Amino acid sequence: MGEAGDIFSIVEVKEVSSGGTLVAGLPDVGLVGAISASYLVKKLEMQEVGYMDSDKLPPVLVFHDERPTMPIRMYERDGVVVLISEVPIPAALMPELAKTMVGWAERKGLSRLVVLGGIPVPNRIDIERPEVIGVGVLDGDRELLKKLGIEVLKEGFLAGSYALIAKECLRREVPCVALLAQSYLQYPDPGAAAAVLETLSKIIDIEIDVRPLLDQEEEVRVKLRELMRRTLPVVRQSQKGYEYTTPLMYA
Amino acid sequence: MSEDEFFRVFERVRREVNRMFRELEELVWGEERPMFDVTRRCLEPLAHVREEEDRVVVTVDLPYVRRREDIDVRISGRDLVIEAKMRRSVQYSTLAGVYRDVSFDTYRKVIRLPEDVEPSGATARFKRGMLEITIPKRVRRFRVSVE
Repeated sequence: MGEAGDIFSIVEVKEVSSGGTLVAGLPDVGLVGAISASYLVKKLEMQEVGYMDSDKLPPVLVFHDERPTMPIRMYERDGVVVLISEVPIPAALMPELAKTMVGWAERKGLSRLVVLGGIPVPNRIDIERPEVIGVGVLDGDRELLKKLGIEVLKEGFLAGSYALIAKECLRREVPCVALLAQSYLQYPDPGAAAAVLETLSKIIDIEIDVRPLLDQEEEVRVKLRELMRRTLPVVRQSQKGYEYTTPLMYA
Repeated sequence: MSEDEFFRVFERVRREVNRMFRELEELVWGEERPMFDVTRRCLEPLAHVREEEDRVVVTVDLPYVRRREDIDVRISGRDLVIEAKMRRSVQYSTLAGVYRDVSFDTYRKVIRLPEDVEPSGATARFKRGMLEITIPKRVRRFRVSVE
């Protein structure tokens, strides 16, 4: 559950084990986080363990294989907990979602949060293999990224959902990394999602075969057009322009 | 007014009324507007318009379109019309409602350009299912002398 007064609540339908890694993929730039997290759930045949809910979310219920499911769900396998959302989170609710999610992870004793997403690049059409950049919140996170050979963000702004999650982790001193692949901003980008998953596999130490995702790339792009369109207003509200802004030089 | 002239004017009015309906639909439905046309069996692709100083750049995501020859791009006044044939049809058999049992095999998108353009200078490239169209703006240049 969340804390009293929280807008979001977390319900565990099966006990989530402590000590694992929480991987979050929310609809954002190029749907990179949402595509990669949902692919991970399918590929690793993860088990549904709970959901996150709020009265403020869009009035929808999602059906998969005839069964109704909550739009924001959690899955687990082998110490990896994955949180996916099938609805874009309105920008006004993001700080609350970040607080509830990070607070829950802290209480559950999860060892680290890994947020998956995209970083929009204007020349994506010319990029064959998107690069992935890592953001480390605590010293140990940056050390881990470097040890695994993942490029670490040195200067710049993060904006949007993963910025708020990272900020909440910084405030609570919860280990957190964000993995961001070069991606399209306004088009579903399975290629970027595959790049993120290849990097994630180093962190969670589980092999993830991304070939089927790349083979189904066109199907994913066609079928996620509507979700991408619904996500764009949220992306616009999250001031992504900051990611092209240079921070103060002498700070 | 000659008969030819009458039909030209009539066609112009028809296009303008269609455009107004499209804009009204966009305004009323917003993100709820369906991204398909069952009667034409076509899907609406995602597209983006970027305005630069001297040109307009339009990108359109066209998965399942394989060859350049399957894409038709036309500019009529400020309307950019994109049609493309998919190499295989797409079906949404598991979804309820109007999608059910309809297969879609083309894309169609009409984009109202933000400025007057020079269609003769337009160029387009198609890479990994992404179409990028660059159209120069119609600009009249004046030099302002600085004293």
